[in-house]
Amino acid sequence: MSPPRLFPKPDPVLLVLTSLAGGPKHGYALMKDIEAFSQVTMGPGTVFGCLARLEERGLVRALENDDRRRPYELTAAGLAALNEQLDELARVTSTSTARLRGAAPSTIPTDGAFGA
Amino acid sequence: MRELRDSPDDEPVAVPVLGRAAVALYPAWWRQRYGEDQSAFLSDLKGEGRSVLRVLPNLVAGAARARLSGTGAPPTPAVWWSRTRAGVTLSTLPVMLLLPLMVLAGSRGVFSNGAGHIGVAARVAQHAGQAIFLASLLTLLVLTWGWRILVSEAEHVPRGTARLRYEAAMASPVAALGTALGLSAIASRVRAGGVLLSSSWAWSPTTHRYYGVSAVWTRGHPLLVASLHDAAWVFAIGGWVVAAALVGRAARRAPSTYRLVRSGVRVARATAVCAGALAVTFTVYELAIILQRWHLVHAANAACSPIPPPPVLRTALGCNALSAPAGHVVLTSPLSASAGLWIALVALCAVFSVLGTPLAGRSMRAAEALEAT
Repeated sequence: MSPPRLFPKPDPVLLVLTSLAGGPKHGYALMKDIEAFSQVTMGPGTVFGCLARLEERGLVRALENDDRRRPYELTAAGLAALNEQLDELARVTSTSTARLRGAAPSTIPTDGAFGA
Repeated sequence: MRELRDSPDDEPVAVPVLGRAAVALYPAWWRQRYGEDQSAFLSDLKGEGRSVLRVLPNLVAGAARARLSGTGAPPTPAVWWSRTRAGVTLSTLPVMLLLPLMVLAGSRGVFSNGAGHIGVAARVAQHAGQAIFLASLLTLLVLTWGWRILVSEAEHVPRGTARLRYEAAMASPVAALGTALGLSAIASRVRAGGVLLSSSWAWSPTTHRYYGVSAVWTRGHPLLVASLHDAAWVFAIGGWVVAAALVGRAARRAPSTYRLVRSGVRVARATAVCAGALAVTFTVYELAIILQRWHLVHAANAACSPIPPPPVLRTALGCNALSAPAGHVVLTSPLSASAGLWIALVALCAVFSVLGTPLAGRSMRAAEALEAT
């Protein structure tokens, strides 16, 4: 049995916003896109649950039906929310990267460093 | 640039029945908004050769989330009042349905071989049984309170067939219990030795008690006795379940008076507390019964109790012929053989009740806020 994940899967709302940042998509296209860039498979319950939450807050909006599928696109507020979230993530990422690079030589144990 | 052609085929593929059933679990307002999108999603999934069955749990979880959170529900008071009523129903109806089982568990049987020694587990079961009885009684009182509120709302139902139906639904629990009690009373006058046609009683001034002085019996009717007991069981449990469903249906269709919904939320809160207490005491009780059985083997009891057994079955399988080691009193539960199932059912009812209460409260506040604006 594989050990449990140390870090949780990425937030579905963030994944949906990220996917829509690439252009309007309907539900199934969203799922495929997210699967392609994050290796996370989202079911229809999660996809439309996220879309409902985002639509309620005015972060995405539905476009005219394309055949039998309705595409969704980011609104200006959605774009701003995504930017804000990405800024936060970028701060953590850049700090983490900088610290790893700065601390790597002295903290990475060499052979025999433990239990010698 | 739109990316709308990621789907395998533009020709729609039929959505499997299970997929359609899962989509039907969503609330009406959701289906109206996202129903077609979801069906198209499932159709595309199937068109690409992926399994729709694998996403069913996700759909069911999504439906539960949509019902509980109301995310995306239109901001109209009617929808939120309806959600409030659904929350009250979720909180009270399952508990009402399961109440006969609680009473059965509380009215446990005690088998004694005469010596009177009782083990620790049996003692725990005995106390938990009493707690179940008290919690059941309290739950019944809370539900009766809710039922009385519903009965008083009959005046708001339009006169004619609708009101008659409403009143009939409200009378159904009384009818079910009354019939069961009536049949039991008749059965008590019927013995294997015959039907008690008449009896006379006299008052004893020395013992200050009535005692029978004469009785006239007909020929024996053992089959009639068993049939009457069985019929009483059927009415007590089956009739109660049907009555609960009828009351629930009538309550959902009752006129949405403000007083009714507000009172309903209070009843839901009280029911959730009772259901939680019942789930805890029921678990303790059944676990104690199981622990007791580890020390004493009661295969007959286990075989007789997969369901609350009607008397004929109980007698046929020899449930009343338990044997115990010398010096032991054995507590038996009518539900103990499938304790896991009953504990799960009681826990599920408690979960429904505990989930339904905040749903009702939040929805009521949202509806009030919408009405105020």
